Order: sequence, then structure tokens, then C-alpha cells
Amino acid sequence: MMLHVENPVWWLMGAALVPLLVHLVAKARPQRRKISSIALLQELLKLQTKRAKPKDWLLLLLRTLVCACVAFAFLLPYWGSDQVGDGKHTLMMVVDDTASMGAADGQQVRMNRAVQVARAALQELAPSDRANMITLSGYPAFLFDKPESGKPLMLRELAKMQSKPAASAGVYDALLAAARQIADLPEDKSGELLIISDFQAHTMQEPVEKLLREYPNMNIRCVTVAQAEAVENTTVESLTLSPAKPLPGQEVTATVKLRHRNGSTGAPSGHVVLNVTLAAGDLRLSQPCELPRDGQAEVQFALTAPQSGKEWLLEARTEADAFPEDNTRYLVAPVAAKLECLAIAPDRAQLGFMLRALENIPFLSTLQLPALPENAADYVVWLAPMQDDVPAIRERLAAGACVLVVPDSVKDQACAPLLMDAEATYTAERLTDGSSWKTEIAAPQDAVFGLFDAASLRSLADAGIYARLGGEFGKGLPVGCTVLARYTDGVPAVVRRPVGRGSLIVWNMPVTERDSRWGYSPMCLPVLAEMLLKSRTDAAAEDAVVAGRDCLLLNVPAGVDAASLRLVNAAGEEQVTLLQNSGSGQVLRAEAAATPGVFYWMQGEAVYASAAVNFPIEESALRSYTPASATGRVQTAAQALDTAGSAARVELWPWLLGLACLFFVVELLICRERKNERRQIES
Amino acid sequence: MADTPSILRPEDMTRLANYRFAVQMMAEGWLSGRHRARGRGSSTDFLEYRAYAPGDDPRLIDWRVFARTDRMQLKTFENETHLECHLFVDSSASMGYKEVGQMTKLRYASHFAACVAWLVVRGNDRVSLQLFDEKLREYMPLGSTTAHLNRCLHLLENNEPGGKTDLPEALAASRHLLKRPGTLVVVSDFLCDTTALRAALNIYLHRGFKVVLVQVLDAAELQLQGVGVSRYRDMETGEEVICNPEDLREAYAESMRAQQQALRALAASAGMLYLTAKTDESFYPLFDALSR
Repeated sequence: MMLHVENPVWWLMGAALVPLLVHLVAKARPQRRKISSIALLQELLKLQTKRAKPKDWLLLLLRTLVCACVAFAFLLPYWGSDQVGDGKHTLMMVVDDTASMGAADGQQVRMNRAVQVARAALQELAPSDRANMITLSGYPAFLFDKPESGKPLMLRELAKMQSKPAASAGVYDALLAAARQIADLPEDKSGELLIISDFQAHTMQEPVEKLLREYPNMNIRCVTVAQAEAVENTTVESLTLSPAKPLPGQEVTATVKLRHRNGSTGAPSGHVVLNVTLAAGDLRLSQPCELPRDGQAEVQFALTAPQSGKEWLLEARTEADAFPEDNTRYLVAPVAAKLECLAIAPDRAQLGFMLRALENIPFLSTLQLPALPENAADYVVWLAPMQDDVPAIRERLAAGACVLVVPDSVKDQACAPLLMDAEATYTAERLTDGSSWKTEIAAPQDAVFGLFDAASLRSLADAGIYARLGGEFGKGLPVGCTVLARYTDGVPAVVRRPVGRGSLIVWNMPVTERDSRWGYSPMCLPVLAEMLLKSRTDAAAEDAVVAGRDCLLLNVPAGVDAASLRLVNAAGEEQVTLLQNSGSGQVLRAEAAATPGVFYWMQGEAVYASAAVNFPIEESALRSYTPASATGRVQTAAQALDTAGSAARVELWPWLLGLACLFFVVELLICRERKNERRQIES
Repeated sequence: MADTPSILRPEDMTRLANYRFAVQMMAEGWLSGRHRARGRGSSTDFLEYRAYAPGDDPRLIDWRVFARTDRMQLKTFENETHLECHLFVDSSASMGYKEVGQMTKLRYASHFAACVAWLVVRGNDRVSLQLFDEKLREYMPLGSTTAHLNRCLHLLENNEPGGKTDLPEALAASRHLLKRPGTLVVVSDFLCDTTALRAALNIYLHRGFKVVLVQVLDAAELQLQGVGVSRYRDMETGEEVICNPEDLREAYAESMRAQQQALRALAASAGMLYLTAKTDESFYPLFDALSR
């Protein structure tokens, strides 16, 4: 046992000389006085220098001791076991600071235990030993390029380390890079790879096992800070809005999906009753939810989209549990006064009544184009697409658009790949004998027809159709397809299939008056409008920004001064942004990686745009594993701490600060006494 | 006395009107006067008998004693002479000190010296005045006339603090100016080395001078003044010293007491009269001692 310092900045002890220097250097501003003869005074001063007044020495000593104690406290001294080392040892620490490390299992947050273990491991090192550290959250980063003997710096970094609400973007790469730094050490030097993590099964298992296989002989020690194999955790997995882009005042449904993960295999089954709160603007809605243990459930809220504004912020929340970070989810839904519709046809006439109807639907802003442009749209109405157009249609569907396809009236090769993911050619049929096909509503219970009754739709049913895709069309439709209208002989007239994040509608009816009487029906427009409106996808867009990895971005539109835009978080704290030039214009980018929460791009005092960043859901699975192939090299945090012998360590800095306070008080008392004496003399 | 300089104040004259400057000593003047001289003389006051020695005036043999005892005894008488008072007034820079008192030490000493001179002249005795600092600055030889007194008073009136003090040197320098023994009144703050002072005064003492040491101090000099760290400037040398008076106050007061005690011891051992006066107090009590 001997005295050690964690932070050997010995030059700091020079602070103890400050009172002495002040005493020597400080220029007193003495009163000027005359005296008849200075000889006597000089004689006395000589005597005084020989035997300085003990009180002054005492004050100087006390002040020096105060400074010395405070300075020494900064060196973080402790009384502990002897450190021996020849400077040939290298410690590479991989510290997991991903979001799951913020979970509190047992009495402590995992991250705190990880920091304790890391500190203990560092303290075991001799001053000349080298160390390096890599953290895993976001994009893993080394503290030093190569192992250094910067123990104090590492200790300081550890002191401020916290778990970040982010997943890791490359655990294996990080582990591999750390292992290489050990592997690259000269032969006469020893190295140890210390992995401090909660070893989440789905993020750490594969990379760690792979590393252990790759470096079977490397000195790898895994310290798990998870105190339970699994932690009971409830997660708000998703918050979706249906439709995703509502119109002002439109009735929408917000769906909150919850997931429960059991703490351990022996945990009781049954249900967990939770209260789910949805905040949408000023509105707060709450619903209880019976969530099966180790299962999923969803809660739906009926809402009305706001009448004004172009964005709608929603926040779903449940009660906090052992891991509260994943109990909240945000959604910024765009609210559009009009939805964009692109009508793709060689010319307007070929779209017939369809284009007229689209242009008259109040919530649509329709643009007829001969070919599909690059810009995104909510709806695409495509007349007679060719087989070559299928990829473009799929791309739009994947992006979440609703695509209405009107097949070629002669021969169609696009519908089969879109509807059935298969190659097929359908031939058009045409009636020329004066007869016509009649249609009927095939799915009256579908939301599309919710507004109408059978009587009102009779005019559509009676409308004659003179051309259609026939034959094999409609046979073998896959699951998920909905035939909304069909011909009386069973051939589908309108089929809908969700594809990707979008919705495909195959309109197996001609759109010209020559071949169809639907356009004459007064119900044509409302049915088409409802069909487009209710067929929109309700799938929420994937989080554009991943917490901890990505930075918030804003494409600065032309005409907007980028300098007038600033990024603030929900608490109103301004975030640092950088202005970058990209091919498409200027981009404002937050300097720091995004953290979960709501952020606002402000223009002056007005909100220009909002952005929601959600917790990385993969970090919610708090199930740990024990690296099987590292048998004998796996320790719990308690074992690691015991090994480091930190229990026998006595921190001295609190005592030093206490002593400094004591000296200071004594010095104050002496000064006060002197002041009183002086007052008496003056009086 | 209409043109008497203000250094001799009317209230002082009124107050001291009944005093007579008569230091208990043997004055040795060349005129027969009221003051006893130390030598044997021709006055009527019997001094002592002594054995006849060849060369003695046979007229002085007391024949009655010879008749009774068969021994020839000479009857000697005290010699009466004029009193000669030599005033030494320290006019060094340190005498310009004033802190507690109403006037500087020099002004106080000048008032005192003026009163002494007035008393001496009033008694038809002779007074001389010497103003000195490190050397003799002004010298007014012995005189007993009113004009002489006025000249002395003018000198005192216009006396200003000068340079450094060197009292032993000044006394040594003056020894040739004083022909006969008389009363030496030294008015100073005596902030000097007592050993050197004793050596300087011994010359006068051996010549039969009666020495009166009058120490004039400001009351503030007995206790070191100042609060907190102070810069003390010597009034004579301009030397400065920085110290905390709180640390030295006690030692300083003790040193001052010791210095006064040393002076008192010096005076007692050499048969001198030592008087002290503080500028915030009246000097009249000193005349009680001077008039005995």
C-alpha cells in the first residue's frame, strides 16, 4: 500500500507557492508617515527579521497549506496497492456507450459500472504503460490514434462519459481495429483487449464471437456490466399516421405500436397494463393498453389533422421503466393542403374523363406529363405503361406513392409484374356488337365505399364498358390484393395492392367516353376521389435521421437566406450548424450527431421546419449474452473491480479538500482577530 | 518689550514672572553676583577650613583655631559670581516633527529656550544661545542685555528645522566657545546614541559645567503611529522603511522607554539634570526643577 496519484500533473503543486509569491511580489500600498529617527525602527526591524512574528508565519503557512491541499486534491491522490509495471504493457479498452448502456438493471446504470471498471483497469496500469480506448456509439472512434501513456486524459474522458442514445454503426469493425492495435505490438510488449459492454445479444454477439474466432490467442477480456441476462422493457416501437400525409382537417388514425420484452425466461406471463399518451399539438389523448408480456400490441387514436400549418408534431409516450429512453416516439407528419398528382399520358385527350375528374378533385393538384419526371408526387396516374416502365412504377410505390395504372387497351405487359410479380401478357377485349360489360362493387365494406350506399353506386354499375383486359387477367391474384370493383363475369375492374410503402391500383377500365360510360356517371368523381384518398399508404416513413449516427440536415430552398435559419431543440437551445454546398444547393447541417427529440429550424421567431429524431429501436432489446468462446475470460463488473483491487483503495482528495477548508477557516479566524485588534488601535 | 518676538509669549512671561533661573550649581562667573561659584572666593559665606600650605594668603589663617589647636587652618569662603547659561537648541530636521502636539518640537523647544533666556537675562545673568543640527548653525555669545536677549529671541523665532542631528559632534564643536563653566541647557529630542552623548558631555562635566538635558518629544513618538503596513520616512536622512507598525508597536514603545531610561541613568550618574517634556503638555513644570 502506498500513495498514488491518478492525475500526475505535478506542476499543479506549484500553486502551493502562490501565497508565498503573493507575499513576496505583491506591492503593498503602505501609508506614508514621517518619523523623527528611523534608526530605532531599523534596529527593531532587524530584530524582527531575526525572529519573525509567529502569527505572520502562521498565516503564510496556513495559506500555503490551503493552496497545497487544493492543488494536491486535483492530482486525485489515493492510498492503494503498489503499481508495478515496466511500461511494456498495453491496454486497449472497448467501452460500449451505446443506448442500451443507459439501462438501469440492478442498482446502477450500466454505463456507470462500465466507467468504474474502465477506471479500475486504467489504475492498474503503471504510469509508463500505454492504453487506448474506443467507444462504440454512433461511429466508433478511438481516443488516440495509437496506444498512449495518457492515463490522466483517459480518466478525464471516462469521467464525462455517458451512454449516448445511439446504436453502433460498426461494432465488428471497431473490435477488429482495436484487436489490430494489440496485434501490431512488438513481440516484447504485452497487450490486452478489454471489452466492457452489456453484450446485447443482437448487436454484440456476432461481432464478438467473430473476433474471438479470428484472434483465438489474443489476451481478450470481456467484462459484462449487465446484471441481468434480460431486462424487462417496454418500447414504443412505432408511431404511424394514416394517412401519412393528411389533408387539413382530415380525420386520421394514429397507431402506436408497443412491444414488451420479458426480463428473464422465468418471468411471469400475462399482460402488462400501460397507459399510452399521444400528444398532437395541444391535444393530449390517453388510452390504456394491455400489452402481452414478450409480445406486441397497438393502440389507435382517432384524430383530426390541423387546419393550418404544414407540419404536425405527434408524440407517443408510455410510462417510464428501467430503460426510459425508448418509451417515447416522435413523428413529424406533413400536412398538405393539396396532394400532388402526376398524370402520365402522351396527351391529355387519351386520359379522357380520368384527367377531368383528377383536375376537379379539390384536394389534388394534377399535372399531366408525357413522361414520368424525377420529382416525387403523392399520386401517379399512368396510362398504358409499358413493361419497361415497371421498375419506375415500383420505385414510386416503394417511395410511398399511390400509383393508378390504366392498362393498355390492346396488349398489356405491365400489370402482371406489378400485381403478381410475374411476367404475363394480357390482351384487351372489345365489344363491338352494341353490348357492354357491367360492373359491380366487389368490396362494399372497403373504406373506399364507406361514404356511399348501394343505391347511389347503381349508376356506376349500370354504366357500360366496351373494352377491358380479359382472359387470364385477375386470375391468381396474390394475397393482399383487393378487388374493389369487378365485371359481372368476374374479371376484376379495379384492383388494389399495397406494394412497398405505396399502393397500386389497376384500373381495368377504359378512360375514354368511346369505350366507357363511367365518366358520365355523377358518382365517378366522388368514387375516384375516395378511392385515391383511402388507398393511400399509412406506413410511416423510416426515420430519416438515426440518432447518434446522422446529423440533422435542411436543404435551404432558393430564395431563403441560410443565415436566417437556426436549429433549436425542444428546450430552445440553439444547435451549432454548418452551411455546406451540395449539387442541388445549400445544405444546413447540424454539427453534432442527432439525439432523440424534436428539433426546429427557426426562421426568426417562426418555425420553418421541424424534425423528429427517434431512439434507435434495435437498442431496446436488453437481452445480454455471455461470450461462449471466451470461456475463462469473461468477468462480471464486480469481479473485474475485485481483480483491480479498487476496494482497497482510499481516495484522499475529499480529505484534502476538508483539510483545505479547515486551514482556511483557521486563517479567517486569525485574520478576524487581527482586524479586531486593528479596530481597537484605531479607536 | 513691545518688540519682543512672538517666540516669547506674554502668557509665558506672566506665568514665569515669579521664577528665578537658578539651577542648583556653582556658577563660575567673572563678576561678583548672586550665584555661588564653586571655587573659594571672597564672599561672606563660609565654605570650609583647610590646612595652611606655603603660598597661601596668611590673612586667611584663622588665628582662633590656631590658638586652640596649634594648627594653622585657613578659613575659606564661597565665591559668588554671575550665572552663565548656555542654551543649546537642537534644530535638526527631526525637531520639525508634529503629530499629536499643537506645535513642532522645535517650536516648543524654542518657546522653552526663549523663556529660559528671558529668565536668565531678567536675573542680570548672562545667556548664550547655540542652534545646531549636525554642526553649529547659529551662535550667540554670552550677553545679559535686553538687546542681547532680543537677538536671541529673533534667532529662536526664525529658527527652522535643518539637517541631520549630531548632538555629540555639535557639543564637541562648541567646547572651545565656552570659556568658563556655567549652566549648559541642552534642548533636544535626544534621539541619538547615549554613549556618544555621554562622551561629548563629559568634556563639559569635567570642566565644571552643570548640564541640564531637556528632552522634547511629541507624544506620538512614544508610541509608534500607523495602522497597517506603513512606509516610514526619516525626517533627517530621507531613508524609508516599510513595516507593519502593529508588529513593532510594543517593541518600539519599549525601546523608547529604554532610551529615556538610559538618558535618565546617564544624567543621574553624571550629576546632570534630566527633564522631559511633551509637546502636547506645558513646559512650565520644568521651571520648577530649573529654579531650585
